[in-house]
Amino acid sequence: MDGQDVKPRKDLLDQTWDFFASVRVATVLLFLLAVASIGGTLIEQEGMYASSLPPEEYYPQRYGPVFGMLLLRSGMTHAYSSWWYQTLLFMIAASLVICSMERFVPLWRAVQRPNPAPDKQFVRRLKMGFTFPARGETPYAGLAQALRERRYLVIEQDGRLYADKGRWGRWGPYITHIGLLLILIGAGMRTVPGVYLEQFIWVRDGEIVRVPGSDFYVESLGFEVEYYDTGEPKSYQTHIRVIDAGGNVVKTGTIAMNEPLAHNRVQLYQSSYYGEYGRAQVALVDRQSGAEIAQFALDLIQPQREYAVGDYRVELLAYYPDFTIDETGKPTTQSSRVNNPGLVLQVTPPDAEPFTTWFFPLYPEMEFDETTPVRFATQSVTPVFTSGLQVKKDLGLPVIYVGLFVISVGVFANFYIAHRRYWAFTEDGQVIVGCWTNRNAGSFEREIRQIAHHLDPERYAFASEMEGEER
Amino acid sequence: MIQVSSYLFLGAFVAYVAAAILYVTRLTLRRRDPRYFALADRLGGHGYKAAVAGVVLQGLAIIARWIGSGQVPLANMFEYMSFLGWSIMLFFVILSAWYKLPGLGAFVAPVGVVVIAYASVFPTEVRPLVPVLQSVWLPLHVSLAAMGEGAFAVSFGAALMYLLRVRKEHSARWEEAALEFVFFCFAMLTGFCVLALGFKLGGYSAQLVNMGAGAPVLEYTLPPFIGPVGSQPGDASFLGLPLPLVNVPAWMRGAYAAKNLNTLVLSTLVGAILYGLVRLIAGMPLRELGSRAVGAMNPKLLDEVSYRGIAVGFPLFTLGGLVFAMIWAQKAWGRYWAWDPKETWALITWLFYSGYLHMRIVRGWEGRPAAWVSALGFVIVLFTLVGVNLLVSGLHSYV
Repeated sequence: MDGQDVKPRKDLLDQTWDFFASVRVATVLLFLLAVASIGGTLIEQEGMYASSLPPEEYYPQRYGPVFGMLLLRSGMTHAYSSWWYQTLLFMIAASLVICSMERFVPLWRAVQRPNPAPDKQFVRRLKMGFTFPARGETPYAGLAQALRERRYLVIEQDGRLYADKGRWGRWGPYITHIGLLLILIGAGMRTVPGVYLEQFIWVRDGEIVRVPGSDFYVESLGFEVEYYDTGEPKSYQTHIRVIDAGGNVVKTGTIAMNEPLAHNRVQLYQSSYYGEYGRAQVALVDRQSGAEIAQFALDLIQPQREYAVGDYRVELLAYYPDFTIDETGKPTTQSSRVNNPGLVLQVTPPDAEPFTTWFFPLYPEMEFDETTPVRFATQSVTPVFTSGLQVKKDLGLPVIYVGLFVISVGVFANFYIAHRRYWAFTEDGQVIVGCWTNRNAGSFEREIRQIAHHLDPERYAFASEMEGEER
Repeated sequence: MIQVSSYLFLGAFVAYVAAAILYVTRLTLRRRDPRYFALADRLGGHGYKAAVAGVVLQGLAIIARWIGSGQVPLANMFEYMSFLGWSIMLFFVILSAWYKLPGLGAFVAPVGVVVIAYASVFPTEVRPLVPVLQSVWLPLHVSLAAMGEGAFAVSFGAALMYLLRVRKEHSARWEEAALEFVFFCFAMLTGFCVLALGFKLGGYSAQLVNMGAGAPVLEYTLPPFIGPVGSQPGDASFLGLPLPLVNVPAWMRGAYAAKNLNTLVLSTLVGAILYGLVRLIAGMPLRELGSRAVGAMNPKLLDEVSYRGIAVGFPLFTLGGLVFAMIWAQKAWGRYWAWDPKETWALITWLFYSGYLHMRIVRGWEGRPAAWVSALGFVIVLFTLVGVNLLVSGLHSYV
C-alpha cells in the first residue's frame, strides 16, 4: 500500500555484481580468509597425524567424542579443502575479478587518456600546488623543462599543461590481482586429470624401478650420504640413470636436496632413504680345529635357496630379514627390511647326515646349538641403501611461476612507483599549478617545493622541512 | 672472525639500548617543560647517532659472521631474530630521518632491543647447514621476509603512537583495555630480556631429560620450573629449590615447547612486577603516560608513518615470505604449498596486511580501525615467528 520502489529493482545478477564490486566486501573477505586459515594450523589435519587410525576413529579419540565429532562434521580436519574454505576462496576470486573489472575502464581513461584541460576549479582545489608569474610567449617553458628533467611526460595543449609519471604505479593492484588469479588457476589445474601426479618410489642401489605415471624407468647407481665432522648430515644424493621404455639410457644425473631431476615434465626429488645390510661375506669354519673350510657371498636382500660351500651344501629353510620373537615365542620378522637378518639353514656335510642350524650374520657367535661340526663366521657385511624419491608432475607449475612473477611486479609497482601529476593554466599573468599523487605525498611535496623555488625563488624561499612534532 | 662478530654484536646491542634509553628520556623531558626542549633535542640527536651506530655495528657483525662461518648467517633462530632486530632498527633509522620524527624512537627502539635480546637467548654457535638449507633461496627468502617484518614492526610502533595520540577523543572501553594490555605485554617482554640476559651472563644452565620431540636432553638457560615430558623433580635446582615443579602438558609438541612455556611463565611473572612498579611510580595507567608522551605529535603524520611502514614492508614480505618461499618449497620439497603451519601463518600475515591495505581505501575505516589492524598485524608476525614453534611442529622446523 505504502511506498512503491521508484527505482527499477535490480535483479539478482546486478546485486551480486554490486556485492562483489565493493572494496568493503573484499576487505571483509580477506579478514575472513585470514581467520579461516588459522584453524587448520591448530588442529591436526587428515593425513598428517601420526597414527594409522581412520579419521572417524582418530579424532574422537584425540580431541574427545563431542569436539572430535564436531571437527569431523565441520570439515576442520581437512580445513583447506573443506566446503567453507573453498567457498571463501571462490568468493575472494570473484571479488578480485569483479572489483578489478568495475574499476578498470574508468581508471584506464583517467590514467592513460588524461584530460590535459580539466575544469580550472578542479586544479585550484587540489591540496598541493603553487603559482608563479607567467613570463613571455611561452609561460610553461621553465615548468615543462623542470618536469622533463624529472622524467615526466609533458603534454601542452590548448594553452594548458599536463604532466605525469609513474602510471605503472596505478596498475599495481590490477597486476597483483591478475597474479593471484593465475595462482588460483594454477592450483586449480590439479583437479584436471593428467595434470597432477604425486607418487613415491623406493629405489635400492642398483635397482631399476618404473616411475609411476610415466613411461620411463630410473636405475639407482648408488645413494650417498655425506656427513660434517660434527656428525650432522651434509648432503643426501642419489646417482641415477633414466632409462626409456625401449631400454635406452636417456639421461644420467644426480638427485640431491634442492636439486631435483626432471625428465618429460616429471620431477624426481630426493626425499628419504634407509640403509640395510646388503651382502655378507661368510666363512664356513670347522668348529674343532677352527680352520676355514670355504667362503661364500650371502645376498641378504634376496638370499639364494641353496649355496655350495666347498664340499658342503647349504640350503635356506627360512629367512627373517628383521628377526625378532613374537608374543607366542615364535620367530618372526618385524619388517621386510634387512635390519637384523636371521637364517635357518640346513647344512649337508659331504660325509655326514644333514643338520639344521640358525645363523645371524650380524651376531655369528649367537648360536642355539653349539654341537654342530661346523659353524658360520661373518667376514664382512656391506650396507646397501634404498633411496626414497618423490615423483612429481604438475603441469600447473608454469602458471604458478608466472603468477608469482606477476604478483611481485604488481606489489612493487603499487608501493614503489607513485603516480604524480601536474596541471597548469594561466590566469591574470600567473601560472597556477595543481599537483596530485596517489602516494608518498611527503617526497612529492619536496619535489614541488624544489620546482616552485626554481620558478619563483622570491615567493618560495625554501620553507622549513615538515616537522613531526609541534612545539 | 666469529669472535669478532660477537663483540660487534654486543656493541650493537649496547648502542640500541643506549638509543632506546635516550629516546625515552627525550620524550619524558619534552612533555615536562619547554625549558628542557633544547636538552631533549640534544638527547634525541644522540639517540639517533646511537641507533645508526648500532645498525652499522650489527651490519658488520653479520658480515663478520658470514665470512667467519662461510655460510649465510640466516639459518637458525639466533641469526634470524637478530637479523629481524637489525631490519627493525634499519627501517627506524630510515623512516625517522625521512619523516623528521625522532619521537618514533621511544616506541620502536625498545621493540628492536627486545627482539635482539630475544635472539641472544638462542644458542649462538655456528652450526653447519643441513642439506635442505643449502640453497641460494635461503638468504633470499629469509632476508626479505625479515626485512618486511622489520618494516611492519616500525609500522606497529607508529600505529601505537597514533592510537595513544587520538585516544582522548573517543575511545571505547575495549580500546583502553587493549592499549593497556600492549604496555603489559611490553613489560613482559622486557622482563623476559632481563631474565634471559641475567641468567645467560650468570652462566646458568640445567639439563633435563626430555621424552618429547627433539633432543633427549633439553638444555635450559632459565631455572626450569616447567620441565619437558618425562623429566623428574630434582633433575635441576635453583637456589636450593628442586626443579622442575611440573612437566609440560603432552599436547605441546614442539621440540622446545617446554622450555618456551617455562620462559613465558617466568617472563609474565617478572613482567607483571615490572609493570606494577612503573605504574606505581608513574601514578597513572601506562596508556595515560604514553598519551602524554605523544601529546604534541601530529596524528596525521603518525598515521602516515604507520601506513608507510606497511607500504614498504608489504612488497618485501610478499617477495620473501611467499614468492621466494614457494619457489624454494617447490625445489626442496617438491611442493610449492603444503599448508604447513609456518607457511599458512605467513599467508595469514599476508592476508591480514592485505586487509589493512584495502581498509585504507574504504571511507570510515582508514583511521583508528586501520591503526588497530596494523598493531594487531605485528602480533600476528610475532606469533608466526615464535608462537608457531611453540604450539605446532611442521616441515619448517629449523626456524
